[in-house]
Amino acid sequence: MSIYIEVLVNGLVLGGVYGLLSSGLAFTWHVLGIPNASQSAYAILAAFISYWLFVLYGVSPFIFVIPMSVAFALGFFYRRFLITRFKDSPPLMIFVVTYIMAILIEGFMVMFWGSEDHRIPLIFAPVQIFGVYIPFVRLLALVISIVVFIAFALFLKYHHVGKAMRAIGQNPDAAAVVGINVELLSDIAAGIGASLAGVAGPLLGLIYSFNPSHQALWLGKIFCIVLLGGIESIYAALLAGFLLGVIETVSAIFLPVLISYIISYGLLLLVLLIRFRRV
Amino acid sequence: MEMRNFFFVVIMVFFLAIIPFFVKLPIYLLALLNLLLIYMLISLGWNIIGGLMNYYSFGHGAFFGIGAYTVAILMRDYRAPPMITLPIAALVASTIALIVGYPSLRLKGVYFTFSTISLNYIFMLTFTLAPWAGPLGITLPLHPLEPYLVEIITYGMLFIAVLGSILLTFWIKRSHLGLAIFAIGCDEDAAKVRGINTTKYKLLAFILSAIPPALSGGIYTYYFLYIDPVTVFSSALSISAIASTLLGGAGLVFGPVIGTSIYMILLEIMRYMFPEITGLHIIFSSIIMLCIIIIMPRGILGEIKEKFRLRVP
Repeated sequence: MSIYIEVLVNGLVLGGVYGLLSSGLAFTWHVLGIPNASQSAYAILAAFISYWLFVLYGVSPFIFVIPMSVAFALGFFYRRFLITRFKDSPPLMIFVVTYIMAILIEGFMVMFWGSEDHRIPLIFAPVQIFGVYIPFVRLLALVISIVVFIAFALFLKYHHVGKAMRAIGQNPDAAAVVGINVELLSDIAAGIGASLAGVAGPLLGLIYSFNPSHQALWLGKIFCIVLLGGIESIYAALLAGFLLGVIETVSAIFLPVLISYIISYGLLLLVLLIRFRRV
Repeated sequence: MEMRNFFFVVIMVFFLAIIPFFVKLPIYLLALLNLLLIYMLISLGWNIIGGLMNYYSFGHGAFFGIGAYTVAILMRDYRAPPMITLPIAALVASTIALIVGYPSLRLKGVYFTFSTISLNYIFMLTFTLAPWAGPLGITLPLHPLEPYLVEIITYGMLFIAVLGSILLTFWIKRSHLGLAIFAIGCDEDAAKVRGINTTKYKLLAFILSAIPPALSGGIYTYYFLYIDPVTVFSSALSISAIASTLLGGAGLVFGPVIGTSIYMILLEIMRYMFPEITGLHIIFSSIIMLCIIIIMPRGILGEIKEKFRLRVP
């Protein structure tokens, strides 16, 4: 019995991190109107940065300031100098450009850190809750991802900048009419979406091993989550993230391990076929 | 420049390309040419779906790996000769293209691209975890020949495969299928209204586009005698195929040929200049793609065609 609870908790932890990552993607997609394929590359970059900070300088990976600000700057300048050039291009072209940027980030990561698997070497003793042993790092990752998500949701709901960003997502022209600086706020929104990846990356790096080429795998997963939940709502992205996390870990104990890797691809295809076949 | 003059250039290049069969070139040059032709085949395959039909697949390198593995497994278990293994590799890759494309090509445009994001990685995992392949790869039970002989035989096989792929692209462009997929690339809804069974033609184009990469993978296996999942399913293959096709001119028969040649020469120069950088391949191809999309979206051959009003195929 206890193994099922353990697996469920692992699924929730994974799902929380997935949800955080994909709510950033859903938010930028909704506000800017473009699917940003670099989201998972930001996350891996953040994971590598906090790996380096921990190994070289002993900075705790739970201090997210540096990875977050790097990701924020990347997202901000990326939207300001690159995406604005492609305003009138078809969506396919913009998606291709963001994917190329992801590949570029991957290339730089291979240059700096090589293509081997890395893992942030931080180990805590497991804690016992209701007779089940759970690694403390995973519990902490779940709590942190939920706290960050709630802070982000409150910011969007109550802060005037968050409200302005939602207004841009609904109708950019009308937002400009009521005096919102659409360009600047879109840049900042791209930065915020990226900085969520700056939190999720180190958390994933604490739990699993990662290497630069994992960005394509994670990208498939978070696209699956975002398309499952729909881009309008970050809550739906979080829920879909939990769903995928639980499905992946639960399927890993009943089915061959390969199936649990392929499941996100199958789910992505299924969601695309059901929702976007007639688009 | 007239069409006739263009074909004169093509014939001259053809004669240049058959020189290695008569003159003994240095091995380094032949190895470079072989690598170029291996990449050119993947680009030619991608051009059918990405160039002619405007359906960007980010996982096209997967068919390279499938071709390589088919040949390797047939060689290891049955000792089959290349005359049998290479057609079977093409057949297996087309079948897998049918299986992958049957659901995903019901989607349109960018949604199809979404579905191909992690395709490469999925195949890499499959071949790493499957019992008949394994993470260590496969070493072919062949005795290595004399180096020059290996290079020249590989060059011959690649030469025939590239010629065949160019003719295939030509045939597709001239045929009913080419008209249909060109119409789909321009405006899919209009094509559908006109009575084209879009899913069928898209699937047909996807299946045909899997053949050149599969042949390339098969010949690669004979050339290196060792394959492992990480190299043959590396996403760098798909990316460099896209980059070089865009560089040469997507949708033109000779676009990938020119694009891959320039791309590989530039890459070789870069490798010579910065030998110690590991991710150079990936960085280089993404920067080239970005520059091409921003500066000349039609590609080199496309721009030349537009500027001099050529009727280049």
